[in-house]
Amino acid sequence: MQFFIISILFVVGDAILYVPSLIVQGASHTIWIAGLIGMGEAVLLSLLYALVSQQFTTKGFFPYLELTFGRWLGRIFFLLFLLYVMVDVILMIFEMGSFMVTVIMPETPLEAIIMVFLLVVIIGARLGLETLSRAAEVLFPWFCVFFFLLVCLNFPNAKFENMQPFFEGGIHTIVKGNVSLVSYIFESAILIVIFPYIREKDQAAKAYIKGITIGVTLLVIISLLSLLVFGFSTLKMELYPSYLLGQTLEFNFLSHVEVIMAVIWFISLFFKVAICFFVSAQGISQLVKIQDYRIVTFPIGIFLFALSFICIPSSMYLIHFINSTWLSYSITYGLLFPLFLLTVELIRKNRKSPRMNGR
Amino acid sequence: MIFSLLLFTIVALVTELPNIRKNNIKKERWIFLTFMFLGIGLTILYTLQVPMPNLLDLLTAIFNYPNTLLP
Repeated sequence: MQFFIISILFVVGDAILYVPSLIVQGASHTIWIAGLIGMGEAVLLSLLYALVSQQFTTKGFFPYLELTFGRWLGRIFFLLFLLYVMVDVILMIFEMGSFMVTVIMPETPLEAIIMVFLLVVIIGARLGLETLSRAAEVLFPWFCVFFFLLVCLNFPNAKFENMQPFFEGGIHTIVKGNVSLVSYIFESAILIVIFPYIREKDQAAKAYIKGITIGVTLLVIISLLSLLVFGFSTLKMELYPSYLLGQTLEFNFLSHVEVIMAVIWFISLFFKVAICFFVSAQGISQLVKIQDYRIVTFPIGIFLFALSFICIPSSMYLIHFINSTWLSYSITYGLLFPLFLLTVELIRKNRKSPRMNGR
Repeated sequence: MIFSLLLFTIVALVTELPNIRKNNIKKERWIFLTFMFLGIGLTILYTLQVPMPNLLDLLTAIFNYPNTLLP
């Protein structure tokens, strides 16, 4: 149950703020088709990841890699995977800081926001995975309530004519829009590392698949809603359309209701960053063969803090990076790496069974 | 920037000092100090505006070409 919640929050994570604008730039009016295809792809991908993680439900990701590929090659693969997770964390905390500085608190320096957020993430990661999942269970109803409020209260503003020109650009635009959605689904491969920590092993795969599908559905709903409410031309100009959805709500005595949208986003982003940070801290502590991963959390936190400023000079650089490189990077770790692991496992099983039949 | 770095290091040392003094395990001490110096050094270099190689540039150089093949 907790894994279900974590998967939802993980997928929704940082995508909820960036995916609507990314999809719209690719697939102009056909967001819903791109979204539906994305949901199907989410089911398939989560099946793939669940299959891969069945191989090492008791051992752990790093011992499994060491067993399959030998000591050095397994370590290199694990290090590259950890690099992927760490780059993901850097991107996410910068996105979060950039969002806060752009929209909510323009006068606060970026470093302060990132520092505070990182401190909370480090504390969360030190407390361990169980505490994180219980906290997710507690915060999840709030997430759902605010999400529902956002969707339902915006529904009167939705004009269905905004969806009008169907198939305007042909299949090419659908594929382009879908690609932006899919590159975020590949990040959920990081959850493979957490599978060994779950107690009820048989239900873990089902919870995972359900959670990822529902998370992608939520993303599609938000993207679709932002298209319906704003229309295509306004949507193309906005960088954070889901935040704008919150701004269109006005009550008589309550102002700045859009902070509710920010709360949704904070909850999901915090859990995604905390889990990714936990995975990378655990990974580095296993690579260096330390018993407790908690000693490494603070140094890695400072390291990532420094890297997030060195690696990403500005918001434009981030957008350029996502547009130019992120898809193939996440395909390498989200699709090719699990497929590679599965094929190696199949080859090992085929090698074993002829021997046993021969004897 | 420097304030946040100081805050980070102070919090890190305060939380980790009892652990390191109790266990007295050399390897963990070494790893902790190495990573801390790495992070602090990077932050100091960034504050001094020393041009540094960008990790994402390396990733872009590797993954730019496959990305042009995809839609």
